[in-house]
Amino acid sequence: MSWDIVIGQNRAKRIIQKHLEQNRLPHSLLLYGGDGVGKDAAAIQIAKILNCKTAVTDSCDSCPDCHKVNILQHPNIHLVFPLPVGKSELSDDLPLDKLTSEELSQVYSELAAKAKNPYYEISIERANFIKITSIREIRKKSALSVLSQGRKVIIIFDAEKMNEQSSNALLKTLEEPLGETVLILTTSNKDALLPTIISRCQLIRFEDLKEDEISAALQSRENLDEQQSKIISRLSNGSYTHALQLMQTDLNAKRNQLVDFLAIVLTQNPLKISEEIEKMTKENDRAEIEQLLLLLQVWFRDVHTLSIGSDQVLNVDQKTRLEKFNAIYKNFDIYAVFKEIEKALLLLKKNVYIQLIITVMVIKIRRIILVKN
Amino acid sequence: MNYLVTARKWRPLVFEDVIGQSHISTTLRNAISQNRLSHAYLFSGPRGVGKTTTARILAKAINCKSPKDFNPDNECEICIEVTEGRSMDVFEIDGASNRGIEEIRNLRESVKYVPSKNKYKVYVIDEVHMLTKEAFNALLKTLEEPPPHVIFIFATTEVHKVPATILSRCQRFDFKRIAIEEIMKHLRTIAHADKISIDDDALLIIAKKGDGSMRDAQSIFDQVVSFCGNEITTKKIIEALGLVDQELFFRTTDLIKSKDTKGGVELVEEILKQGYDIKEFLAGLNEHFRNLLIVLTTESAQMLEVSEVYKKRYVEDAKHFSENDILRLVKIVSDTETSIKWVQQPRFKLEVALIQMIKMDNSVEIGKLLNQIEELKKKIDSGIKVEGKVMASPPSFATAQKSVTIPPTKTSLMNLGGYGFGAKNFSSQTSSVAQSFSPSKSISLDEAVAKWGVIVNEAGQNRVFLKTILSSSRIIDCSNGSIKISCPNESHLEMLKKNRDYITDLAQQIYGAKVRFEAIVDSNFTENPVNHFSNNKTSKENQHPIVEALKNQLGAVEFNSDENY
Repeated sequence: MSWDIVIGQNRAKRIIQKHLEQNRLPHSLLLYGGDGVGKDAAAIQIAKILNCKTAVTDSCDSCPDCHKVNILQHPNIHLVFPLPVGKSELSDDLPLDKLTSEELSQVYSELAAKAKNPYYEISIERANFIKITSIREIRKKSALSVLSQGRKVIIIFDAEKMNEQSSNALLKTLEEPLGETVLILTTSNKDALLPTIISRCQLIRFEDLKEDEISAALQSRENLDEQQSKIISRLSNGSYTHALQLMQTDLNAKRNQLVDFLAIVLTQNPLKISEEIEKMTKENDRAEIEQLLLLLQVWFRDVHTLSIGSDQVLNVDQKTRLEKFNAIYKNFDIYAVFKEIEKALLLLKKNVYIQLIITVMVIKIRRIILVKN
Repeated sequence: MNYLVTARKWRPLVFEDVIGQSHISTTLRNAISQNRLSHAYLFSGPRGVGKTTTARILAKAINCKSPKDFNPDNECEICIEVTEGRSMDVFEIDGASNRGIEEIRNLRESVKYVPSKNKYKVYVIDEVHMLTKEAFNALLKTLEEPPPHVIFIFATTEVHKVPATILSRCQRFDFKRIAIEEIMKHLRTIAHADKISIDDDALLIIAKKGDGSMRDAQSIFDQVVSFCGNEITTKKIIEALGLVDQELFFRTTDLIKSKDTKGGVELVEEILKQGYDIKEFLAGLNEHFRNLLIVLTTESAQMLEVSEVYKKRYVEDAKHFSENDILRLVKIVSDTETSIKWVQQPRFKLEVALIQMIKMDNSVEIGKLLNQIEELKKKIDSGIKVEGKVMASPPSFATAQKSVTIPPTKTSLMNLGGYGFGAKNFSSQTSSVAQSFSPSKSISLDEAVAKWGVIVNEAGQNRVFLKTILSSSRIIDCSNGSIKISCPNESHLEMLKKNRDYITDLAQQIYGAKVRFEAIVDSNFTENPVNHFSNNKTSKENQHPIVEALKNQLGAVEFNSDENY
């Protein structure tokens, strides 16, 4: 394990290691960057190093302390993440007090999954934000004395999920925590945090992962073949978590299905198109439709890239189809197409009726492209 | 002792050390010296400018046993207790965690009791904007007339969330953002004390990143120090903070100059390869354009907050752009900046934005554009006059009429598969019509199309079937008093033939001039005839050049009813 668990991120790793080396680690860190680029993994790693008896800049991964951190069971480490609100929960209840046993078991199984793979994204039903009780608990926890050697580490995953009350309740602790506590916040949306939170932390940016880093990790960790891992890493947008999700879907089939759909939209009559839309919306749920739209965006982006004479396409294996498309459809307003897809993605998030979104988008794209052809 | 971050280690202990807020520290010290302390203060201002710090200093200053020039001495028992946060009479309350009415009721209870050993009991409520409405209201009476030994100090970043009834009971102090020079000066002092060598360019970068907040600047300073050690250079800072290299921005402007779209895509690839943050790149690009704009408007690089090396390049680069170009570029960048937060694939957004910028045509000043429109207008006006003269002259009108009645016209139409009708009628009535209507009147294509609907409706009043037929026909040409219409099939043509006298009469009434109709069968007939012309106007090909120019050059957006869903 040790630092190798974090894929890439050499700059961020170096900064953290220098902090540790000089014993200048600030009491509050904010790790920010895209989804699934290794912020959580790094936060856990810092916690491990601070509690490992022998380590200075890297953990030994052989002492009992390291082991306890690995399974996320170390008494000095406290994790905060969104939890569902229990029935008739009061403000002085502990965050887990009023949850049902099913909810609790889900929390524990999600935590176990996170321990197994720090790139795993914790998602608990009805858990939409970080509760103020979780934040109040931090103050209590940090007041307790440290068990065994080491330092108390509080990790707040997805800090942007703190609502207004929770964020404000954290401010005083974040500025001057009790004792030797270290607070580590991770977020993929720094702009959603209060400026007062950001100003109290030392910021460490995690960059989007590079394609070869993701593809190497996919090959070594998931035993994926080279060809497949290359395509996935291209489409993953620099996120290892996203790459793992993509791995679980049959990507090639999806992309082919999408291009076929596009062909129907551009060549067939409205009746056939509406049949096709109905088929598509029936077969896929909201999340899958979203993925399809993202793939559509990638497709048009490639069309655009080819048309201006660059060959940096993402759909490497579909270059011939792309070139064919480009030969038939020329000079249409591709920015308008992008705008339509973006609009559809936004509406998808707002729970608008899917069939309606797709129909409107398809009609508009058809109009934009065919007007010039 | 364990490591403390700079912001905590260097937290000011006397009024003078609070940077950039002299208007507040002077007022407070004078208040103490003249014994004119208010019972409630409200400190507001952005993050990291010294609100909590000032509150603590004030709490110490008014209680200190041996104040020095109305500053706390920070040595006496009371001062030390406050600094360590264990004083019995100075309460620092976290307003965000203790925000309910219950907590405020407890506070009201404790207000009654006299201080244990200090002169004043001080309640500092930080983040006061988070108190609930009930809590605020419960506080009102106490806040208006507290016991003489009590002083309240509220601190908040969001003063607009504090009710007006609270505001009016407090003396309010607005803390200012701290100027870049002052942050630089303070950081220099800190660096000196910690024996760290740092140059001015490096300090400028840190201070700028701090964005008016001392604490932000100090956090960045900490990060840089632990990354670079005791020797801090600009190059190392750029690496430590992952700042976007200034060269990339100059490259962007070069790409725009040379209209190199391919280079744009490659630039994005490089930005991602280098691991730069796209948002930071956009923010930097915006600043880059702003610098160019400043150079253009002030015609010097003096006001720029950049190092000397770049000032020259800005002056050089600015020559290639006009103010309008830059303003449009800024608009694209800031639009992208706001929308990119919600986009799932920011890479594409950046690519699209860059290519839009690169492809953008040079702007024409609006003054020039207006002149062009004026000229166009003049041309159109004079053109109409010339045409009018020709039309108005009676001899030419007569010749037009004559030519209409000449049989070869008819045959040629027949050859085309069309059929001219109304010709005979037209010639027989000419004399009477020429008297009752102005003979100079001629119908333009626009006019013919505009009133076609009226004819269709009018015809429908008397002969219902005609409405259907006429409304499925469309005008394709109009010249010399004859209107050419096309209809979808032979049967329609037949019906038109049968009713030609009626239609001609009707047209004469409505157009106010004698017209001759010619009809042809159009085999490619598909579109709705009534809307044919009006539709064409909104479709892109037939867009007016002025509209086109407005859209391309000024970023105007067309209002379209089907956009509003």
